[in-house]
Amino acid sequence: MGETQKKKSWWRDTTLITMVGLLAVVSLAAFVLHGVDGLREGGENSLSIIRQAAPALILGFILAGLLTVLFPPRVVGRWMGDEAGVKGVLIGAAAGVLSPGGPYVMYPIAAALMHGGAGIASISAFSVARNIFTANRFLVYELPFLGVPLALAKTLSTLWLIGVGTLLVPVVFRLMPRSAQEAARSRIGAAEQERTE
Amino acid sequence: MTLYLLAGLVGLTLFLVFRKDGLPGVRYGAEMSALLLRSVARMLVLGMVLAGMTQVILPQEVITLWIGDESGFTGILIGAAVGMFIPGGPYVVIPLAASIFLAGAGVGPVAALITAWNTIPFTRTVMWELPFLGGAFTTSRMLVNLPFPIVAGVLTPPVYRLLV
Repeated sequence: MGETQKKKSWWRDTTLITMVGLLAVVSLAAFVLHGVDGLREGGENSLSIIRQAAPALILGFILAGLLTVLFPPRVVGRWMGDEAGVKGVLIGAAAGVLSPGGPYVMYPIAAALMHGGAGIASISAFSVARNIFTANRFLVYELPFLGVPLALAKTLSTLWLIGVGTLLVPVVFRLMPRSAQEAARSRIGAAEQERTE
Repeated sequence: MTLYLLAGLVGLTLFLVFRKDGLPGVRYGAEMSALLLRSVARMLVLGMVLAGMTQVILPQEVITLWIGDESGFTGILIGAAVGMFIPGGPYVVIPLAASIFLAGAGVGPVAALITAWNTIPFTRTVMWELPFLGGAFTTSRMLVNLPFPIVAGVLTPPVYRLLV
């Protein structure tokens, strides 16, 4: 994973530029509205957020690293590819919940699954689970920042939507224009042909 | 509580990794952790500073009026719309959501905001999902997920009241 990520110069990193820009705008607004005191208060807020979140963040990153050793993405993909039925869906959902890292990890994995011949249902389970509930996001960000009651209430109220999404996405997919469906399926087919040839 | 839970999980996975691959496995895991941390560290600090600064300028009256506890269904819709268009990873969005919550936003709108950012995010969908997974899959998933933030906004407050 690491070796495929190209080194980017900081000025080409649009996310970073956006963040720095946003921070500049917000800091300017704080200065205009409340003067130097506003900036000082903002700085103190930031420090207290960092102090509060740092221990959980560090433990969370250690956990994420260890999980990639226990469940290497490539192996998980093979489990989902081979098992098309209910088992594939369950493994897909579990992989979605457990997989660490941002979109730069998730979408390449999902695309590899599609190319590797995993069923639409397994891919739906993976991406819906990943979007609704990620163990790492819950433990590292939601619990420490939002507090236990809010983080837990939000999670309990939405967890069942993983099932709804996993069941419905394939149904809607089949209603899509045939050409679009075939474009997605031909990717799967092409990948399967490559494997058998 | 979170910390004990996390520490316990780290201990458990550490044990499993050690049993599976021995010390080299543990070392590889540590390298992966460092890699993950390094890839987001800058954004993480920026995100938390942004959240801290935002707390200063958030006009409490406006927040309470638009997405406070009394804002009802409109507040949930506003929360969902904000969540849909807010860019960035959890290191930006979750601290920001926490700031908004502290400034007087209601449980429903905050849950709708986070769920919208999780399930129907505009930038992530266009930048990542569409090119990687194609139009048919992306459209199907978006259509199915569209009501999810509203569901979260409606269901979370009663569950929250049971927990506090």
